[in-house]
Amino acid sequence: MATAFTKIDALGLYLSGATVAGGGQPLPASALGGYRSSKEVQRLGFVVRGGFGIKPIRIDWISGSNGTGRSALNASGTTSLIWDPYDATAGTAVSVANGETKLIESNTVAKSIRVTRMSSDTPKGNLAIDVVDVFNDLLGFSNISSDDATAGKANYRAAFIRNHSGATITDIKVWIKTLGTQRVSGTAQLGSSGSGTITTATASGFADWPTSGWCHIKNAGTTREIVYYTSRTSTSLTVPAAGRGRLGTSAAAGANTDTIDAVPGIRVGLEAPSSDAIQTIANETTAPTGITWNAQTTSATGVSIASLAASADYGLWIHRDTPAGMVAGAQIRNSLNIEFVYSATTYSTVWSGLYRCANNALRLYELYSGTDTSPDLTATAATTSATLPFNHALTPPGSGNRTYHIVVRYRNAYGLTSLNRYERKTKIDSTGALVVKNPSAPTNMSLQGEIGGGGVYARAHYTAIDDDPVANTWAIYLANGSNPTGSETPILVPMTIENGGLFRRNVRPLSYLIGTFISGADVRALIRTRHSASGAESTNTTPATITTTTGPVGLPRVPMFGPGFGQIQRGASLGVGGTKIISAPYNVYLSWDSGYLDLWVGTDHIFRIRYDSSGAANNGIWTTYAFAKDVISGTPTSEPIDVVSATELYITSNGVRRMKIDRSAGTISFTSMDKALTRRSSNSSQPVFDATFQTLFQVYDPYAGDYATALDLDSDGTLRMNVPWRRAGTVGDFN
Amino acid sequence: MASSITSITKPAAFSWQYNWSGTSRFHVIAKGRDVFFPSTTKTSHIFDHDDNEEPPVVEVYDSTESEADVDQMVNPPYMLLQWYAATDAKYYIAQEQETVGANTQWTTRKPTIFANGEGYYQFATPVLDDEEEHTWRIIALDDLGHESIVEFTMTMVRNPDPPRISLAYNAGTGNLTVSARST
Repeated sequence: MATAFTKIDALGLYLSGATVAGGGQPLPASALGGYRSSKEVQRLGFVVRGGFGIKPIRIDWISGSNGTGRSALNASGTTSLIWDPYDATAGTAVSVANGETKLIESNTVAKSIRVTRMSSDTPKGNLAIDVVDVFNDLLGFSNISSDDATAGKANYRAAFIRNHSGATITDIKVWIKTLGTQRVSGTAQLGSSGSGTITTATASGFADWPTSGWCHIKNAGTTREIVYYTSRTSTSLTVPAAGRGRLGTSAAAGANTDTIDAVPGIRVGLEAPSSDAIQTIANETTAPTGITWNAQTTSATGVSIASLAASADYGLWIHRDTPAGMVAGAQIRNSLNIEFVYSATTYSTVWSGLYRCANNALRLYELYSGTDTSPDLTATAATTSATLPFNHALTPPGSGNRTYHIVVRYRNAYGLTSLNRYERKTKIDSTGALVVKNPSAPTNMSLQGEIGGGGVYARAHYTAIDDDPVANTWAIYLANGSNPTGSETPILVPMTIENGGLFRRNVRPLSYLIGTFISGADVRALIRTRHSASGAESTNTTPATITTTTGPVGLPRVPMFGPGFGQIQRGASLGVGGTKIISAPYNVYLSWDSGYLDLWVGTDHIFRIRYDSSGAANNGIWTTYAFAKDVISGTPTSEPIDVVSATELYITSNGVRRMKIDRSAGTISFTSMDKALTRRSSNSSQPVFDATFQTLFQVYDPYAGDYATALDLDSDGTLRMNVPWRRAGTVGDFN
Repeated sequence: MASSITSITKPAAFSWQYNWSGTSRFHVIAKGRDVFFPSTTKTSHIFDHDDNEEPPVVEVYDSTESEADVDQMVNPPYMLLQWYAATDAKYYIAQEQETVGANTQWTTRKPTIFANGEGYYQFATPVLDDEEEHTWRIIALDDLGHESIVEFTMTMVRNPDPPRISLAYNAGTGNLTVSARST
């Protein structure tokens, strides 16, 4: 029979502090003696994790012998339940009628659960529950503040042991539950007083002990001393002077034959009730009087009650020790063993409670540093500080560069740290100067010709994985017929960066029209990512290439619209005659008509280019200016004609000034001259067209009925001429 | 023991990619809860996050590891309120006690938790401030508006949030300065 309040459930623990026996006193912190409360102490807690159809079941109590972890209450048949604890096999089915309270045992009798069926609904399925330890119950006491941990403190509470079975219980025993494997003291023992060290000769002998806590030292089974240790290794305990002689013991020199046990910082004492009540203490720090305290770790040496009649109570006092300088902790355990005989069977169970201890001095920013590798977050922090800002010195390498990997965490008063592990990297050279990290190279680099035209697009993707700084600009280096090296003047294209919204995590694409090229051009582009502020740039060197395959020379340039991929929208075709203002302030303009193209500055006719493919005698570049050989360079502010002033103009090529028109000196300067054109046609709609590697001067050919290139200015400063140079004496000669 | 994370990268603004390895299936924990339900065989995931300088805290444990070693599981950053059905209750309200000036007041966080006949009810609070005492209550109400109240108070102790800091290196002094970050 699995009757509730029998077997392992025969002996109950209740809060004290009620004003009458069985009164309603629900608070552990008010359990300071007096009468027994109706509030039963929960040995373990639970969290429902889900279930199906087993809804009418209420969990009333879980035996302290159950292990903590995922357990289950399973329905069996139409009225029965099976308890399947985390650390034991399931027991037999127990029938529970509506309104009944039953004890459901596992295959291990002590691992049981008491439930009440709350409905006539048929239990079905299962109820998954996590069995958990309980913080700050009667045995766990309240958390210890930083001030109390510094100064030390003693706390007292009382519970009632109650026989809530219908039969007499005998041989009730309560003793301290150890928290680690018992060892024998090794080569080092404590002296007669003061701080010291205890070692064990057993390898890793203290590995399963708490990182700090109490140690019960015995000589041949008799208590020598209980001490508090503030830290340990796997074989050594460090005991401060304030840790000596705890829990009613006195400091005494140890011996290498002593047994040592990890124990909680508590001791217990019994008090027989008088007229159902025990003494009441004024507050939790007032010690009860007349109590024989006991901190022993065996059933034979703990406290005991020979016999407890049905429905009888007995007072159990608990003293919790807080030594001065107690180490902070987020989870500190108190634990007792309880044993009794019910119906000629001995039952053993456990009562545990958890609490925390604070130390405000632990609240620190902790900087972890790794040199050219990730920092060890389990090691001691390189620098700590209670406040921000603070400094951490970086040591330059003897040569080369060094990258520091930095993680800054925060630790709270309970010793828990933030769990961030993302590393911020700082790279410095041998002089201590900051080395800016280059952004990642783009991916998917390519050059793609547009459909039906000579335009070429540079395309790539940038995924800013771990880049710091993150690139924000594309740098496109171009070369014609050879690989660009990155020394060329790049085309700079700002990246589109999504800081939020749906596309913020997308890779950043590049799709940029780098120019229009004649058919067969060998175009090569080195595409890099750049951080504009620092100039840091990716280091990739492999260019994307394309050999253009545009339509035939002289195709009419008509507007082309369309939604399809690869198509672009063009402007209107260049008319036979027209004028284009280059600089309004200086009145620089181009004018053209059938057979010629003029450049003017106000009334100054800089040059006229005449071209007629029928071989007209007046083909040529007509100018009153002298041609001069000079290497021209510099970054223009506009292209392809860069007007600096009314007297200083440049023609650019591939983004660099390559021809200078100096009206004051009366010269047109460039690097060299050649008779062979690089390009015959651009199909451009502009009279002076920047075709990336060349700037083309175009004239409407009256014989062919289309525009043709009369001159081109190459990116190396060479002026290539399809017409002769005609030095004119007067403007009239141009005609 | 949540040590399977191999790298953290930032593919885009406010996006953080975690990569991990181990024996799948993986449990991926953020803010004390599973990111994937059920566990996943994925070895990377991009997290949206409201901090562009510091990624969210994520822990991963695989099928050969124990939940007991996962910090956020041991010290969850939220309270889970659990109660058994009150007789005749039709619905429940979850409220948090807040301090406004010198006064305290109750603020409703979950206005209606309907009785569902399942017996047990739960309400998981949002992530709560570390080292602070938090008080919540559940109000049970019947059809006539009669109410009963149960109150929960606890000190939240969890792994703190990552500090909001920025780093600046001064080549002149050789110092890396850790400063508070406002954004």
